[in-house]
Amino acid sequence: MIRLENVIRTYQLGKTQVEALRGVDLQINRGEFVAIMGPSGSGKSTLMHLLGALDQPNGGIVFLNGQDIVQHSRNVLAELRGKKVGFVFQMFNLIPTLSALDNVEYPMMFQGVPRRERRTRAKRLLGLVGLEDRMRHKPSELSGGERQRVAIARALANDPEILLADEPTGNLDSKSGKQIMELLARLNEEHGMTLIVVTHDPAIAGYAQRTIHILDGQIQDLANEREE
Amino acid sequence: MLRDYMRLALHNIRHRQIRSWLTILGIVVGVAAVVALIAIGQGMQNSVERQFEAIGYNTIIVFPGGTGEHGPAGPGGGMMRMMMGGTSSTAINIEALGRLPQVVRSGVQRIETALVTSERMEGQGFLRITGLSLGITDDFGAYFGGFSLTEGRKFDRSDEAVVILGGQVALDLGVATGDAIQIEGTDFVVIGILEGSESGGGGFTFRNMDTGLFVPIEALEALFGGEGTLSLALIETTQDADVGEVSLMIRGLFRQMGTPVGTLTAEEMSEQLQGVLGTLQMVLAAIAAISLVVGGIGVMNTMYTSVLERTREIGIMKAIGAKDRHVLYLFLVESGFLGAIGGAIGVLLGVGLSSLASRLMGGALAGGPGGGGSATFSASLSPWLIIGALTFSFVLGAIAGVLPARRGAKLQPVEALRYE
Repeated sequence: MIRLENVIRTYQLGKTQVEALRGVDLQINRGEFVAIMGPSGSGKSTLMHLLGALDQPNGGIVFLNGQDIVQHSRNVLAELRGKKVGFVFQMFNLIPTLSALDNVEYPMMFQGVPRRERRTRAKRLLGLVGLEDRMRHKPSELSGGERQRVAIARALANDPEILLADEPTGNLDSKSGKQIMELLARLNEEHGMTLIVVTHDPAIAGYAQRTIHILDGQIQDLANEREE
Repeated sequence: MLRDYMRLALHNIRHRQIRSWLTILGIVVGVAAVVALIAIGQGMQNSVERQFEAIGYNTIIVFPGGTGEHGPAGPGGGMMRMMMGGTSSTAINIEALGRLPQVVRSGVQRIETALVTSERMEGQGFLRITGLSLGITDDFGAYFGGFSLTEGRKFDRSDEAVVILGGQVALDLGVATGDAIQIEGTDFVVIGILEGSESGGGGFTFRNMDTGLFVPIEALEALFGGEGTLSLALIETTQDADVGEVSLMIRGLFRQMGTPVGTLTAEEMSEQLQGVLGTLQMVLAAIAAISLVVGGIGVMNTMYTSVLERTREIGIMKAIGAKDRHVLYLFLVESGFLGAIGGAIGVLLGVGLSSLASRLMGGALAGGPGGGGSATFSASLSPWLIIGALTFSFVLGAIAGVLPARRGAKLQPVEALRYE
């Protein structure tokens, strides 16, 4: 499903060169629930951006669905993101001026889904995350947990194969955080969604079948990868 | 898909109301000015055309003293003289026109300045007296704006020392039909008074009838001498005659007789006037267009701000599958809308302004001679002007949005997402 080979990603921050990823090898299989753990600045967010085709590496190969993303144009990458990947962010990243329903519909618009169908699907997804009675609310009128559930519904809009969550509980209280993680785990178990969660919280990583530790841009302790 | 963009664009415009309205206002002012100026200009041209149509395109105006080619200073100079009713009076043998088969009829007028006194008026004054050949006001009614009387009668064959007064002159002299005034010491009986025009007459083409004194041309000959002297002759050709050719023949004929004349056809006058009006209109519209350009810059500025402000939103759009062109279209439609809304309001305002102008100017420009009611001015709003203004403002908005939208579209998703 996802395979990374010797992936390097560097940034130019002013005059200094930041090496965010320094030769990462990684494989994630279909239907897996993987946690990527590491302290802040370890390169885990950069890794997630690459996994979601939001960014391209400076070196190495990123295979997504058997396709090398380095080879692709911006357009193809956008299509890949739109159809195969769903993102859940720490800061929710909902469009503040749109209602929950419109936010969930938004990704489908870019795939040319007719409006009527978008409506139906968005309502069903909001039902799935338990927000059927909050659909007309703007993000500012929703609690953090509710916002994140809208974001999950949006991530599911185009029926992706991979769900990427970057610190999905980072801005939530523990109770909402737990609900969100249970929701994500349920999606993995019941719908066979490949789920990758980036976190620095061991409790969150505990939900995953496998945890990948990253430090200073490198994967640590490969021997421990196959813990259950 | 386009409908989705339009819905989102409207949503975004509504979300930033004050800034949107200020931006739109810039377009409104420009469009309103252009629409109003073009409508008014077109209305003027139409009005001129109607006046000349009323006179008839088979009318030729002949004035003595020309070079035999055109008027003293080309056709333009001829027109100035014509508009003043002909200024210099010269004797020419107008009967010679009878030799030309294309000439249906003709009439002459002669203008002199004379001392006029009236018993009811204190003091005395020099006024312009227009001598008219019999029947000219009927044969060339449109030229004289119908020459309609409020009281009295027109000239007839037996008239000698009689005068018809313009409405204003009658008031100034304090006389009515049946009273007598003195022209160069000779008694003239007032037989008619012309209808006063609300605006004091004028029109585009001809001098004011309201302040005229009209006598039979023979009466002027009796006062000033000079048989056959005239300031201006009006000639009607047969309907199928080539007016230009007849003009040429007339100039040739009188040149041979040693009394060269200039000619001017209704078409020439119409073209000249319309040319002047057209240029004026272009200049004004071009000035107004500058404000449209400024409005476009306003749209561009707003869109740049908008792209910057929504950088994070663009990042989100891209993360959930938006291609560069989706972002581009969204911003283009948005800026196009700013233009189109401005255009729509601008057109409405322009229509309002031009109909206001019609009301204010309609009176001032109508009612003069040469119109006979047909000179009524009204701004001309063709559907093309409205469609053109709307299309143009949408395109202007979209063009102004191109650079900002491209900047938004080209943003790297990760960088855009990080933007605070």
